[in-house]
Amino acid sequence: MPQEATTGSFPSLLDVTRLSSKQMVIIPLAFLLFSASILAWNAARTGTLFNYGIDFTGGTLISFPNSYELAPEEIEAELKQKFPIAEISVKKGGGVLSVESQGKADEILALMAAEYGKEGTRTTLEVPLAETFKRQAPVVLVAAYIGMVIVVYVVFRSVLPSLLVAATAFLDMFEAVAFMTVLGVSLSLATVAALLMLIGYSVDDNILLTTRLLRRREEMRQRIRDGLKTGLTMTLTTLAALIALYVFTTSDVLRDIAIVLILGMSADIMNTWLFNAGAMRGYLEKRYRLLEERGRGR
Amino acid sequence: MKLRSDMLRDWRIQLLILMDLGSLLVLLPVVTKSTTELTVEDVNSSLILMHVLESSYQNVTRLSSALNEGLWVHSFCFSVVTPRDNETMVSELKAKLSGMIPRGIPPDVLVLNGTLVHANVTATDRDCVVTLIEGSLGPKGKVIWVQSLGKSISITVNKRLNRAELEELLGTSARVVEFKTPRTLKTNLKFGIDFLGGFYYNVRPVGVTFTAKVEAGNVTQTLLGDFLNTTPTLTEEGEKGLLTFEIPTPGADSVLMDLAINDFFSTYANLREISFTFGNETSELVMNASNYDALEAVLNATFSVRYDVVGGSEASGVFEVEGKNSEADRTELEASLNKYLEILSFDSKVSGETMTEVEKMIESRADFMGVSDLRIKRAGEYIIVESPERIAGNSSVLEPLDFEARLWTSGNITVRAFTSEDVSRVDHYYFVSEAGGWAVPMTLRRSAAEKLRDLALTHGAIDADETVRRKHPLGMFFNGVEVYNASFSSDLAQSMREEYVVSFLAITGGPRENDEARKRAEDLYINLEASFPTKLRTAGEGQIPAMLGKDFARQVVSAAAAAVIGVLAIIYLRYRRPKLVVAVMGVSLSEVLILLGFSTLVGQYLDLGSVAGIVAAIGTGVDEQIVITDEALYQGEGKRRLVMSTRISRAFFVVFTAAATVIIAMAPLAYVGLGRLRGFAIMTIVGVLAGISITRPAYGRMVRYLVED
Repeated sequence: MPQEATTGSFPSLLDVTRLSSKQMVIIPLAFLLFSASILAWNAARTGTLFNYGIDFTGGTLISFPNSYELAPEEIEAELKQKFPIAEISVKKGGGVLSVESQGKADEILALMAAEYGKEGTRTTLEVPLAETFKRQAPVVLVAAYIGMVIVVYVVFRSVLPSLLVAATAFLDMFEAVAFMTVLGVSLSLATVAALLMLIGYSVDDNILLTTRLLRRREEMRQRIRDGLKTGLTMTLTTLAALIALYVFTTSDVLRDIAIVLILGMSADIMNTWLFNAGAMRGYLEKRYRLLEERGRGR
Repeated sequence: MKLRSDMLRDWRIQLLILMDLGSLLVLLPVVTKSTTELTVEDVNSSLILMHVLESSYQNVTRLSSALNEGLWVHSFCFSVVTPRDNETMVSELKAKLSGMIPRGIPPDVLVLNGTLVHANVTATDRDCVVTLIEGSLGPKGKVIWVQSLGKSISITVNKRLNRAELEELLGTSARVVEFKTPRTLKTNLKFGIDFLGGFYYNVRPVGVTFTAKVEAGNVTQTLLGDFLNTTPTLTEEGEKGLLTFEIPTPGADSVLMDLAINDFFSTYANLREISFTFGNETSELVMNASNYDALEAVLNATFSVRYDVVGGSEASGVFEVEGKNSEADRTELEASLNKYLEILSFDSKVSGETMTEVEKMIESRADFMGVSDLRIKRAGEYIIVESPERIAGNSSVLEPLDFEARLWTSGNITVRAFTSEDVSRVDHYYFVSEAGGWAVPMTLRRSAAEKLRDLALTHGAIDADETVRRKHPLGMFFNGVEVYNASFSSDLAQSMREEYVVSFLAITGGPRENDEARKRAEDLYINLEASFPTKLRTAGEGQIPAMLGKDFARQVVSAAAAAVIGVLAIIYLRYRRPKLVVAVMGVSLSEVLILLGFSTLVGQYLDLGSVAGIVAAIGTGVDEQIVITDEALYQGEGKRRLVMSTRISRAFFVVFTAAATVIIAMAPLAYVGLGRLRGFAIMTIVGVLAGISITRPAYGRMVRYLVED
């Protein structure tokens, strides 16, 4: 039984080692380019690189959960007509209708309650505090990232593997942010928290991969296959929990956290087991060849 | 069976069980309880009050009612015909009305003529309906939670009620829109407003702090030079702040110089002149100024806003300065202070003491306003206040009350006598035995005292005749609601007829045992005295309706259940070992239990952020259990066959590294807080710490037994 669990038949579809290490690295890099072009497209379309939510711009956000039957365009037209000065925009996702406005929050809440019987949660942020958050959030993210890189380097004491772990985490975050713009999820305090958490999750299976490759002694491709098996189990359990959170809740905070992590963890499967694994494999194979040649030379 | 007892003898597993039991103990001291959750709308407090009055008196008529938007209170005036006109009657009526509006402003009962009594009552819908329901509950029944959101008021009662009886009780005075009698599992878990519904506010006390290096000699030299328009030289810096200056005075007039020097020391009152010797070419000035004195002199001379020295040491000349209500930034401060001193550090927030003071103030305000269950947290320069009820806007927990004192001129016409700016000082209330009443001592500014005397003289409020004085009392109002009303005493009137008086005792009634009078004095004192030390700026706010909060709580529970099923299914599909599934589930649930126990123990409120944190911690926990399992199952090949302890320790290398990175990644967020997200970071960090110290080692042991069998 134990034997079977680790080395047993491996679904060939998932066997990334059929690719050469160069191919393994190129696929995620191509995907990175794709994500970057999404961001660029969004920047050209909206004029800003990221979709900042009201946490970073200031304003009011009102979310009405369980609003499956309401059409955002109609509500937007109605609210705009009633409150012409309030710069209103309405979005909907997963049955949650989100109204962003500058002011008139109490009036909008009252109107939605009276006409549609909807109750909503409201967040209002004045510009100075939003600017404080906008200043602090990148600092928190960068500090967390640098801290992670330092820990990884201290543990592995080897530059390239540490850099690869760091690069993978960066790819995960970058691609999560790019796909957030596609899904219309804006940057908020909740999504920043999710990106922080993504650093933690992303590093989990990368550390596993690096440890397996550096410490185990069987054939390289087998090490990657074994690692992939463990890593996939880890990521799939995480995804299962996140999908449950996304599907079963209507709180925008929890849903935003869940969706960012789902995007990031999906990207992480590719970035860890193609990019990081491919690069590590190339690096180790080269090192072994050098060692071998040196051994022969003697 | 042998296997299991083996496992239980391991200290790691024992520790896990112990922690679980401990957490359970923290969480669950109370069993299930019957409660009633109800929401009423369209409350008509005037009807409720009428109803109560009619049960005791005849001919109750409502004369007027007015809604005070500011406090969301109604003011009513009822006329009641009483069978007899006496003091007992009036005090009975007062007691009855006060009982009905426990948090409201004391009712005012006036005997008009004969048996006609007018009662002025100020009450909120919320208080009226709560009082009415509480009155019907019997001895053990209590209203345990109230939230008013606009026109609907949600109430939770600690016993099972009958809807029909409740509706009969309320009659037409309120409409029951929601009624539930759940048996709820009562735990010690504290839920935040995300799950209970409520409001939160992000407020910033306005102000700055900075540290500065001060040298008395330099400072006073500059001040002196600017003042006299010359260039004095500091010739000697003696002990104990004795400073000697040589001032060039060629062709100056000695009398004018003397005057100028006098002027200087009256402008900078905290610098002390020791001697001034006039000379034809140079004069000598000796003054006494410590570094502290010099700093005070500069601060007073430079700014119109008040800056206070709040710390520092004379020896080093480094002081901390706080500018409450100042909105200056570092460049502005440096521009105005650079020629005197050096600013070492600058922070655009008030001092820690001021923060604490503001927090206390918010609490006592809330207490006065009858808002309970306020939660106050600090996040950098911001104070986050969570409340089940709305407290900002016009409702004055977060904003200073608008205070004014008005004098009755004729009949019901009043004129403003003074406002809070005119009150220079308020002292703690106490019982004044000579006057036989509770009193708040207050001091007026001179100009206000003079104005009050003029007004009082003109209208007869300090007339020698008491009956005249009685017609012209002085009332005090907060946001237009009267909290105090009394006419001038004969002693005070006499003194005021002679000259203006700055010190008063606002007597709220007696005798000493009169709690109502004591409470009135306390409220007056709190609201007058304890005005906020700084302006508060509301930088952000939010609200979660109670209904949605409960929805969120239910959703989190179902999401958790679905997540558990999903995770366990994947683990079963991967390993096909039911025992492993049970172990993973047991360990993960322990982690949740320990986290909930922890948050209860430290008094943290469970909000959406901390729930997300728990999810994150459990997520990494499961990841690491998978790593441990796979390493334990891996036996190595051929000669390199690994013993179990080597395998497990390899797994722990990954586990500890991963844990360290998560903690490091969350540390900045735990430090900065970013609004209400500190809970997320803290829960994740604590979860990971509990993981590496308790649950992971225990799981490592379990896996040994499970794999080896």
